Amino acid sequence: MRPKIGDIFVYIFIVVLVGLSFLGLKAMGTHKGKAVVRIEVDGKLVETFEMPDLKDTGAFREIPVDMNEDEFNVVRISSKGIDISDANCPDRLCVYSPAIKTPGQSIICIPHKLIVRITGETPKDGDVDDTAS
Amino acid sequence: MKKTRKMTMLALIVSQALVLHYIEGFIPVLAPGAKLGLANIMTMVTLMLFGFKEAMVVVIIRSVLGSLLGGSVTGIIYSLSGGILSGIAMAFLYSRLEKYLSIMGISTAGAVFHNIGQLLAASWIFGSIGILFTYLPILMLAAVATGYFNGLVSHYLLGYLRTRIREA
Repeated sequence: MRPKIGDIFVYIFIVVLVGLSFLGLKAMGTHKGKAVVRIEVDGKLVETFEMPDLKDTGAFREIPVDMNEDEFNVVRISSKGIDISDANCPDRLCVYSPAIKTPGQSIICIPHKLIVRITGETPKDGDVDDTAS
Repeated sequence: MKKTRKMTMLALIVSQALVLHYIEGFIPVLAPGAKLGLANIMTMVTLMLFGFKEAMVVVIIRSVLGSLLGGSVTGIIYSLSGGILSGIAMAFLYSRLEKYLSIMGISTAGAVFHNIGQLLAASWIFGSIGILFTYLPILMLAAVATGYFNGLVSHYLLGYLRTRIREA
């Protein structure tokens, strides 16, 4: 009934996993260039835009995403970041997910196969448009 | 144990796992996607009373029927990937390292691998490994608590079931 010596290794393993996932997330987020928000449904990109400045209240808006006639999610941009303000999926876990704002983070809605993620777009070397701007 | 008796026991265990699987959907947990994993109690009990093969049978039947009960067919793949991975992990730990691990330790490891299995399935379906990294830390936190609790329940349930089986 009492804990045995090996239990400590289970907890060490958990701490290592948590550490690794933070490292993995960081590695995915360290692209150079502007952060880009991608909204994908069933693996297909439906909308993408540059990550707006969260201090700019003018950028705040809601983007409805319709999967088909009776399935929808509403992506919201607010001062907290990007989150899902409404959806009619059965579990509504996406609505309860916290807002995201840094590259590498994502919100998923499993029943609707929706994923909202922030990626760092790596600019190509010697890109004319990039140097011009 | 007689063959018929064993079959009846397994059928009862599957039905109990199914009920647990179904009702835990109504119990809110702090993090999105986190669950109590009560059905894991029945997997542990089967593993320790019968063995790996029987535990896998219970996991697979429970996952398939549970997903159908819940009404979402896509749930099957998450349920199966998590259940099978955690079943394999717990069976390995129980058969090889039982001397060093308490039942709570094994149960916690099972919860951890259940989450890893589900997140790998989600990452594969959505084509982004970032899902695994994003949700793993918070789910690990939940796994420590639920794993310990489920281990405790399994311990007392096993103590009771073992004496009952011996009497029969």
